Amino acid sequence: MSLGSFRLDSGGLIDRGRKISFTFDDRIYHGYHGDTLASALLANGVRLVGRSFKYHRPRGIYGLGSEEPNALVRLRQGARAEPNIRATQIELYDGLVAHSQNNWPSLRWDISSTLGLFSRFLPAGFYYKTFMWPGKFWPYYENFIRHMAGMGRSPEAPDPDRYEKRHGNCDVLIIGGGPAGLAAALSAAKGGALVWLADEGARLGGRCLGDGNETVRETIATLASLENVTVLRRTTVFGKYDDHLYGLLEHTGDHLASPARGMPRQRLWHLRTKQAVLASGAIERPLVFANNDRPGVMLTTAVLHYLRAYAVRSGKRAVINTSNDSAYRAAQILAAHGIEIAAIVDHRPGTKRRDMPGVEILPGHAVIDTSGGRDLTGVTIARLAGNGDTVRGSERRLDCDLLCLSGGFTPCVHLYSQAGGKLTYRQDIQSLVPQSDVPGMLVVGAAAGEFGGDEFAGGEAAMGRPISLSKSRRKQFIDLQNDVTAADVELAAREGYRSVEHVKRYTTLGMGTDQGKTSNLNGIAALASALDKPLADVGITTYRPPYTPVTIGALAGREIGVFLAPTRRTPMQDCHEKAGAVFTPAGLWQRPHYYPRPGETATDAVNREVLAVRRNVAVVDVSTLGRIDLHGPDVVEFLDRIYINGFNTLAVGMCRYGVMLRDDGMIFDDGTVARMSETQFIMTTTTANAGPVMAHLEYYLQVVWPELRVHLTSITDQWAVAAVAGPRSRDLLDSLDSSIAFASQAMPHMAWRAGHIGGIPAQVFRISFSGELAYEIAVPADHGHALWELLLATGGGFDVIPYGTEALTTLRTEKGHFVMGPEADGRATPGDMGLRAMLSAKKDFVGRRSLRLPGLAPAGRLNLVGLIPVDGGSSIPAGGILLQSQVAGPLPDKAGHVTTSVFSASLDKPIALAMVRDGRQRLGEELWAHSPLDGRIIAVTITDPVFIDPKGERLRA
Amino acid sequence: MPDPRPRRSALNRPPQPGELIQERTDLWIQRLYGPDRQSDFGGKLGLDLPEQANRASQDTALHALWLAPREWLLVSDADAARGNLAARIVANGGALSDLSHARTVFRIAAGPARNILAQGCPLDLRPAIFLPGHCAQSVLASVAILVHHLADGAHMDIYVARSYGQYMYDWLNDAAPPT
Repeated sequence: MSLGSFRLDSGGLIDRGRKISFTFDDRIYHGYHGDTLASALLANGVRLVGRSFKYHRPRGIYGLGSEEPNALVRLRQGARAEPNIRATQIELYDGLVAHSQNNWPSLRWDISSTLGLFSRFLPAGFYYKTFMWPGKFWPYYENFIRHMAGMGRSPEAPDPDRYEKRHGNCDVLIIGGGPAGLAAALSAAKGGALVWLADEGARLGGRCLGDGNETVRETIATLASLENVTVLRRTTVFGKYDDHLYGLLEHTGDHLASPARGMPRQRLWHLRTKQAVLASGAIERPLVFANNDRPGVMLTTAVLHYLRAYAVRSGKRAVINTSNDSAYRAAQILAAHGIEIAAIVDHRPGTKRRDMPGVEILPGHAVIDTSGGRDLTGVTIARLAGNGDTVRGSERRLDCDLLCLSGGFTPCVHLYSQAGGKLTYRQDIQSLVPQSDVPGMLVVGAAAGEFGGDEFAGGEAAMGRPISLSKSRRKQFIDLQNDVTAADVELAAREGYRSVEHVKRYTTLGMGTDQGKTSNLNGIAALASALDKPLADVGITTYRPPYTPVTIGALAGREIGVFLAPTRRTPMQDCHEKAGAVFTPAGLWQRPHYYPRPGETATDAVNREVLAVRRNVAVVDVSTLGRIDLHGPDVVEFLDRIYINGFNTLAVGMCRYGVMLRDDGMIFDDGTVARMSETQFIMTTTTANAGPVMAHLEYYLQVVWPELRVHLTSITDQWAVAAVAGPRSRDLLDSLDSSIAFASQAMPHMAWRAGHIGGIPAQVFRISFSGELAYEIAVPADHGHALWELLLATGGGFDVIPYGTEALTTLRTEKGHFVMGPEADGRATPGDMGLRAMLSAKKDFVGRRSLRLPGLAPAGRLNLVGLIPVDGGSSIPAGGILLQSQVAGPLPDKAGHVTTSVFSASLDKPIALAMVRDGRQRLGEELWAHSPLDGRIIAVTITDPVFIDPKGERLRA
Repeated sequence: MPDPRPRRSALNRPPQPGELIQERTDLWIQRLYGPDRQSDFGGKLGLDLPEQANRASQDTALHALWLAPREWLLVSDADAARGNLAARIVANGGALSDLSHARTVFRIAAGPARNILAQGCPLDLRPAIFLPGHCAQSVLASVAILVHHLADGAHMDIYVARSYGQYMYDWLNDAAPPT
């Protein structure tokens, strides 16, 4: 047969004026605009398009759309290459490049197909059974399995295309653009609803594509003219989610070599609709017999589709293997287009169909085997006996290059099931169909099991049950994509699997990119037969999104690179960048970690910054701390209930440190509260907890104490805050033009004052995190940049430098301040931190009752302590385990753990903070700090956590 | 004390005429808490304070955007429009939280705004649904936003916390169709 002779001279929906060239496995072919890769390959007589997943058997084009189990190719090259794309859905464009998969060294000569010879040793569950033990060999097994398994290869270069996400809303979403969907869309649109119609294909029409149906053609034209109708072609409704939300994948650029400028390659829709109409149609079921997987074995609807939509003959001489009447009409159409019908083999013994003069019709017969190598050359038929699943009498061979299968139709109920709809078994069509409508979804047409016409009259459509061939080892495939055979399902049943879900996982039946669209029901039938149960009692595996695979690119959308997550900037961020700061993430913020000078190491820079605070003056950006504005007559009462310490004595103009607990008594956050007026307070929180603290406060106000008159506003973004710290910080502020008196008498420790600094309105809080004399200067955010420049530009020999979060950590560690996370890790009580004195006995507060639980009694709990190395110089492993003795046994005698470890430039030695069991009673004792990561173990001495200025004289100076 | 220094916004970017996404700067923005159980609070202040959820006042010189029961966002770019309003609010039992520097505000023509917002915000912003004078709080690209469809119907204002301003500006421009 010469190339191209599979294409009819006329007909089809292709544009014969636009010839297209493409390559498949590096060979150049021609097709027409309007072709799919599958139709173009068939037109070129290319039958072998891939190798199967497990046994590497030759496979051809089988179906017509998203149900295709076989014809998966790698589309495009380089960074745009995409594996496992169904050739049946790839629209042909000029220069298209596709490669077959699962073969080596070539599609025609595949070495692994010799697996077929060993396949009796590769039954269901082979990997589970073989690679179970010994466990320590798993890494080697995994290597082998990974090499053998897996479908396709992913590109390694970054994807050059753009993917978009979009939200949409409509009144009625029609899923499927076949006759039922089109009719529903027109009806809804005429009622004035805003209608969206989504269809997988490039053209609407569904099973009527290319059949010349005038009503369908006119409806499509009418819908296109209506303003309240939006038609999304090449769009798969892949998932149904709660509250009438649907996931749609629109292939905006996949039909082109590369997407048009400004267009995404794919668009993921989150579509919310008031009502959905599921018109997703039905998929033809294959029949199960030996060697039913050769190229040339196809679904009858697919053969019909290629003929009508693309004017392509899928073969020259066909045998039709059917169990229902629909194949007879198909046979007439095939014959009319020049495909010779060798025979119609009908499983039903009683069929009276005689409307194909000149065609041999064989009632009560079945195809039981096929022959051929990489292509079909003939079939073996035999008379059926018993229930139609055993063979009687002599076998007979028929020559053919095309075998059309028609085992009935399976409604596409996936989205209905995802919506929680229940299925019921209908014996007449041998399918599971929707039992009743689910709220917001109407199922119509073939998806509801309403096939129309008399296609199923004349007897029950036989399920594709395997036809048992005594002593045969020939494979009868149920799931072509995963190479699951009838014998595999029977084996699973013999080994005790009863649940259809377990059988799926054990055999891989119904997995993969096609999710068993052609195999699930036949698999259930095989299981039902093996278990000797009615099919309806076996049930079906859960339908989950997505209907067809959704690329990670579409799910990620534009949330890649800088848009992976939001980045927050303080008003001084420009200044830090200009100063060459090295940044460290703190939540969504990027905070200066340290500011290295040319030639400085990180350690040099941090030490310099620490010493500047201890000996001179330095500035840190603390705008990231959470700030909450509290208004109302009941704020004091509210604070008293939230914090462990009291606030009713806090005077206007003063600040107080506070600790708040969770319900369970564990420290939740700490910060300061400043009283701005009788009824207004400003609370600060830690950077990381700004959001959670706000939610915590809102919860108690709205749910627990709605009677309290308190208003909360997050004002973190309103203020730019710089902390000026160091023995000369007051001198620095005094040198600035300011209306505020900074002297200790006028502004003692923990006081705050309002005024202006250098013409900028400011609130200054005399609070300290470093233990040095320090002031936090808050100015409205738009003035933060100016404030920072003002503080750092000051002359007068102050030599002010900025410092970062690493110096901040060192400073607070030297001062023995715990922080949320390392020390207060959600398991620590105030007592553990040495804050028992703060616990107010005069009031109730969140978490107080939990502190009385026996488990939280002080004895035996981990206490915050300091550590110094016994040798005075070894760094203490951060996160290390503290042991009583040097030898770490299988059950180490653990005394606690290292929480923060720094080099203290101020003391010129390594120090650490740790949580140690009964640590406060053990000051001076020695422990061993062990890092299981690097194996280091060093001796440490337990000390008081406050290493510097334990009396607090410096910060009160 | 009036701000004696020029303000420097989150973008610190001089407005370019003709640009799709414009930053509104130097705004006066306050969160207003009305007193409980007091009727005609707005009337006493001479303010149009919408009682209906997600509605904005018609006053174009001083927008009052509904945020929650008895809570509004007051926005103005004209000093004259507010006079001694803050003092009168407090005198009538209300409270204000100053957010003038806490928000970055983008103004976008309504048509393009719908297209851009659809790419990251689940609100139904169709012209027949989200009318001029409507406002709503939602999320855009993981950032909390307030959208206000201005009474003229031609523009939308998008409010985000200031620290997200630069990120949001970059995101909006990336979402905008290429020109």
